[in-house]
Amino acid sequence: MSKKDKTPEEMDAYTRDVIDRGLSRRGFLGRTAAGLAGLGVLGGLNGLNAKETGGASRKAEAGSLAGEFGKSSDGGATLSFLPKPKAIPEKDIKETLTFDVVVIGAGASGVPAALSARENGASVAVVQKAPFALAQGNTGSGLDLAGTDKAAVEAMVGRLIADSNHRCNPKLIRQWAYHSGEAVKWVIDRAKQGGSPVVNQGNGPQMKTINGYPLNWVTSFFGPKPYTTGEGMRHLAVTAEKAGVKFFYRMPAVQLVQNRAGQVLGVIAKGPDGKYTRFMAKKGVILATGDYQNNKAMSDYFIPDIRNFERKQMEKTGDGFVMAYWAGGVIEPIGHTKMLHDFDAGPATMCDMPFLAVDRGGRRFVNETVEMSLLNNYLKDAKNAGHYSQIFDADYMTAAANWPGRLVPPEGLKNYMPEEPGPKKGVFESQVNTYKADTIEELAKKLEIEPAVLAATVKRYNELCAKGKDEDFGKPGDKMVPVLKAPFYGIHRRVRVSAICSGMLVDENHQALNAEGQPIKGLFIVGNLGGGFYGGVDYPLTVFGLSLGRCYTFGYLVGRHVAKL
Amino acid sequence: MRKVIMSFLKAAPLVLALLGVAAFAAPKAPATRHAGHGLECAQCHGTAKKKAPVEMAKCLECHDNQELATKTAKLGARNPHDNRHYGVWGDCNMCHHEHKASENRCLGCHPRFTFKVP
Repeated sequence: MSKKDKTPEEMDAYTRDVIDRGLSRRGFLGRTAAGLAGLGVLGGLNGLNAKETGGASRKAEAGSLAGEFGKSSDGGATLSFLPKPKAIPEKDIKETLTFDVVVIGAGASGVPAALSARENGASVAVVQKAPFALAQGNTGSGLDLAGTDKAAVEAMVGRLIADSNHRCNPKLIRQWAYHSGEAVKWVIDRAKQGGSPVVNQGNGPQMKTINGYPLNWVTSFFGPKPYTTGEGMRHLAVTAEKAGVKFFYRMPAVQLVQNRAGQVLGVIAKGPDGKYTRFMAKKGVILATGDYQNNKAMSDYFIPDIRNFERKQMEKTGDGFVMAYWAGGVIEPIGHTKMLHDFDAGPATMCDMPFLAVDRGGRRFVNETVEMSLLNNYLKDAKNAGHYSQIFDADYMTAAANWPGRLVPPEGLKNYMPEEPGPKKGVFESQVNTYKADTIEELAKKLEIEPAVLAATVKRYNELCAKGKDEDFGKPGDKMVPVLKAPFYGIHRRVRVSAICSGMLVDENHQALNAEGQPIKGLFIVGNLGGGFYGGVDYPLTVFGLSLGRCYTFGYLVGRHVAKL
Repeated sequence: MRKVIMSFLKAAPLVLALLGVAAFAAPKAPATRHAGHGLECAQCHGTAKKKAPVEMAKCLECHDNQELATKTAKLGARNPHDNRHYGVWGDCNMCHHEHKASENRCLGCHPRFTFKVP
């Protein structure tokens, strides 16, 4: 053991648990790293045994040495979605470029990481699989420390830890809480410089107090749709390019370059001409490749709950997971955190309003005060596949006046109705799915529900409303508002996978840790590929824009950290 | 006699399919598209014994993706050849197939993006 080694007792509970239950190459890393590097470090086994002492060799399994694929955490199963990178012959590498920092992935954490590193004096390259920067969503948030008492920050930290079912790394939550205001302001400023119409919505959509302490927010809004954070990151990339960051698009990273000691020295990426370029990173590689929702085998393994849901993204194939795993990193254990919602079919501000809700078959399925972010848990079978409908009547503006969220009046609802002619504003036209009808039966047809079934559901619901008691699901009496008066409205939502937000084990510097809990030299991980920030069954919607806020913040911090190494 | 040969040729793809022979194993690709323009298998698939799927770069040797994007700019709500996901660099093979029916890959997520994919 080196001096830096922490014993399991010295590690925090989160890190200890991920090392204990997560997936990693464990001890056999040291003996097989040579073949991985593509650097000609083929000196055989000698010199590779630095980690053969202590815990490492104890955990090594004889069968793994010949393996072409990763293994389950108990070593018992071979995982086809973790293929070992094949060494790339030197003759296939067209050129080698050297930078201080190489960022893999131009998304909501990769672009900020690159610009932040550049502003702190580093030469920076970004390699990106897509032909441009990509990101999703509109809102990214941080706490403005100027108007937020420390007690409020800590209360927020406590709330987010609870939202993650106490399975996250509290240090990373605190890091977001104490640095996000600064980071999100920085992103807004730099994106504006690139031409973005981004605005700071401040406290607008956020909770105003916690445990009685006032909160102050920085809420970046890249919108309205169809403008999203995708366009926002492209505008931020304009600023980054002006600052001197070099972007290499349509160049998927295929493997990391490592030396025999396991230090990450760079990355090899494949260009559109099929030729390879080696990017050497003097200070470090920052992996920001996002999740793996489009890798079916990986999804089915880590989070089988989402097998039947549609995906919102494309090409999120978990490339970074494969690279980081084979570099010695640790993947958080099975049971990853998912993010499913639908802010497009109808107004986002009405998604958590407890109107009557029916599943795809037209039957009530839940106490409707359960938030949209959790409804996927009731709709994960192949038939429902995330589909449900919110149903209300002509009186909704008065009946739901004091409900959580913000009501959109009938004139505004037309913007979400595919049957209404004319151009729509602030929505994705292909995703709007709200309907109006004079009878329940007619509405049912538009919602793709058997009319008789919906009529029976509404009849039963209205009976319970008349009683003022929800005998079927226990919803509070004041939320039992009947569906009686035409016109009737229905929002046919389908929750789909926005993101999977569990990932690789990292420390507070966002440096990848290996199976011994030791930092992997030269390898940093941010964005949804980074672990430790969540841990619950579902991504919490407590803070609007937490996900993007975390991506910006950790990108901003890691860029600065690596540049200063 | 000529008629007989012609009808056999017309039926050949079906016969081969029934025999379980992969369509592209036939001497001439049976489809009405590239084969109809006189292209040989090797021009796309190469001469290696084991025929690999055709990569997009091969398509681009004859087809100009920028030009295609201009042609389909007014097809509907969005331009399939210049979209939010891939720009003009979406892999042709996602939608266009040579040896089976082509498909509209937009439809899965965008139910109203209807158009015919040749």
